[in-house]
Amino acid sequence: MRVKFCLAAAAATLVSAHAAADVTLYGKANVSLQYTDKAGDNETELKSNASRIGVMGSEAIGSGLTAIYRFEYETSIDDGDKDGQTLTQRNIYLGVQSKAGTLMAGKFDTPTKTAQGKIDLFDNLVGDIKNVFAGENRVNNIVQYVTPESVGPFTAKLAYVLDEGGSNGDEDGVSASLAYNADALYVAVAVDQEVDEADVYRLVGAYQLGSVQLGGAYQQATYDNGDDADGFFGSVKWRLDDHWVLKTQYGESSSDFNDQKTLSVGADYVFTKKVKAFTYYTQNDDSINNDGDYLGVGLELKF
Amino acid sequence: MSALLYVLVLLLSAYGLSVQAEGCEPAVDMLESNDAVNRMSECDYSDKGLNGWFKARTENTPEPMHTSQTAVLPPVVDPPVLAAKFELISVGVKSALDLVQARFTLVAQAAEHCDGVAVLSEEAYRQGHQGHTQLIMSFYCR
Repeated sequence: MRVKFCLAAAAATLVSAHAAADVTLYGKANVSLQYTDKAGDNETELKSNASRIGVMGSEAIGSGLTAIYRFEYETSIDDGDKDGQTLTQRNIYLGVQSKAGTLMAGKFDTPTKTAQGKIDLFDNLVGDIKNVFAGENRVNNIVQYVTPESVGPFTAKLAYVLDEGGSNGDEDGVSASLAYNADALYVAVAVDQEVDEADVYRLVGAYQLGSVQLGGAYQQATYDNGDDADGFFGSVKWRLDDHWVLKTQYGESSSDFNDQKTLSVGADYVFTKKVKAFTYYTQNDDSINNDGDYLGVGLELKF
Repeated sequence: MSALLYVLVLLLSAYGLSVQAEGCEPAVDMLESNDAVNRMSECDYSDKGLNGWFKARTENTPEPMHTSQTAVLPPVVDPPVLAAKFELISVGVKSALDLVQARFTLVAQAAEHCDGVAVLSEEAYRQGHQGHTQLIMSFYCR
């Protein structure tokens, strides 16, 4: 009841906030029923796949400057429990935007993570690219500069990650990316230095060929303990018509301590831009006997 | 659990009020793109989904009267016009033909949005994503 009251209060606050400035409320609910066969055990689970709610907005502050903000929280719509809480923090930042670019600070995805663009067709499901790639980090205490839109099809990002006595051995990290996005082609290079105890070099490409989207990535990672992990990733999405989308992706990485592979195939039925039903089959293998097969069907609503 | 049901009911009821400008992907997808911070101002979501629901509630709610007031002040702005004002933004256009098509699309959306007639109150342009021109049209319902 207390949570319900808080949500009602938050909604009321948003109404009054909206009257003062443009605040965009957004989010999505994504839930799937999944059959899991992993390491000899099997079960049927109801999964909430990164369902979230957030607000974003901007406020002109004069002299050609605009303050931008975003507060995004994840909630598990299957059981209401996300790491012991109802809501957990996702991307949260406050920044200042001008013709020279955007300077922002908070907790959010590193340039290397966002450089993947939209090649991960099973993002937030068991077939997520993070199964085989390091560098998929959303980090605390990050300050980032992003080049302005006027640079044209190029977007460069440079971020500094303050460890603040955290898990990275007191070493601050740097993450940077350079992306080119024009019409059908997307290409990005990214690098992490001392982010989440790893150095990462990533190359990403995607091309829209009519109704087919091709995506690929290659990555080299070196962990602080000296282990290396090289990997590649490829995906294909085929829009059959206004409703049906077929998709598949494969990725693998090899390191001194583990070899990992992920294969997914799936189909979406798109009702509208905001609602789709989906089904997927994913096979995740590794060399430490943690193999898993997953079959799921789900529904997603965006708002 | 009741809180989650509350949120779901809220989302589903708001979904029916959604009016999506053509070409603008849902905000949650736009924010997943690599250049999200440069695209935040590209699409106006203020009349869409939950935002439209909140906005409609705010604009249709009469100003509270203070009990100590004895005189009723005349409204500063014509309330029916204020209540129905909304803005539509086109996708980036690359040619004169695209601009005509974009204007037609926005006008058609405005006409569909209003129960009566849609009146154009302002038309503006800006440079959008990748240097393409965006058409911004403000309407009110009458």
